[in-house]
Amino acid sequence: MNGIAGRPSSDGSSGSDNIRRLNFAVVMIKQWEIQSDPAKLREVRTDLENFTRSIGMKDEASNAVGLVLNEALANIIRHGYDGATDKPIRVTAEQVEKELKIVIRDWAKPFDPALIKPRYEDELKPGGLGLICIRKLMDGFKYERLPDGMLLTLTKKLV
Amino acid sequence: MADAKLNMDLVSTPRMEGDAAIISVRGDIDLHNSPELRTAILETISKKPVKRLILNLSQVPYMDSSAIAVLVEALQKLRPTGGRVMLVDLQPRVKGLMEIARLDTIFVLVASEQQALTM
Repeated sequence: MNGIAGRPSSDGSSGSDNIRRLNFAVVMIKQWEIQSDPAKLREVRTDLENFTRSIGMKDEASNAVGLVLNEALANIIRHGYDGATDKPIRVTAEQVEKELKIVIRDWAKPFDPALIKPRYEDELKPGGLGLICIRKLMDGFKYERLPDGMLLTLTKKLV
Repeated sequence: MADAKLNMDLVSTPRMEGDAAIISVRGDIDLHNSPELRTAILETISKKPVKRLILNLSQVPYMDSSAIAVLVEALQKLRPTGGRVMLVDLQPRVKGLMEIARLDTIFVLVASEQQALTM
């Protein structure tokens, strides 16, 4: 979709993107409303990578962001929604000056990421790699437990 | 989740050479299709004694942690009998994920199927 100057987004529509001015900072926003279907992962991942490239992120960083989104969504699908494929997930990506911010909202059962043990304790025990990717590849992340789900905020500098 | 069905576009028919099973994989692998990869690998190593599982990943530009979990599971099954999992021609994104997961030293990484067969 084309950007619309001076009009905030967050209208909940699928795959929307906008441009707005806030205190002289140009902000690009794109939002996806998807179901918890693994078949959607590739499309959203690729779309986000294209978005990050369009705002000036280099290929390596864009690939990292795509992987992190994939892992975050896969965790929600597998653990939050127990593999159900028809539950809602909202992803919002926005550029604020020199930083990319991604917010992932789900309505799944909440969890405490601190309780997940690092996989490094046993090299041949799968699991926990998604969180390792988030920690290693993003500049910041924050999980918030909401009354009806979880909110994950990821940030990465545009380089 | 979708049922795991063998998709010939994703995984080639396994080829046996001595104690080695060679499987070529093609395309992005994520939570959507990693069950297909798992089915193909587990069927292969359960049919015959396999000492070397050689996975040609030269046409896999992307994989996620669910694919990594499949590879780890294969290694867990082969290791007790001295088996190895050999990964051929990793693409940059896949190699990067292996390094993040610190699994690049657990699997045998090789440049070609021929090299894997001589090890």
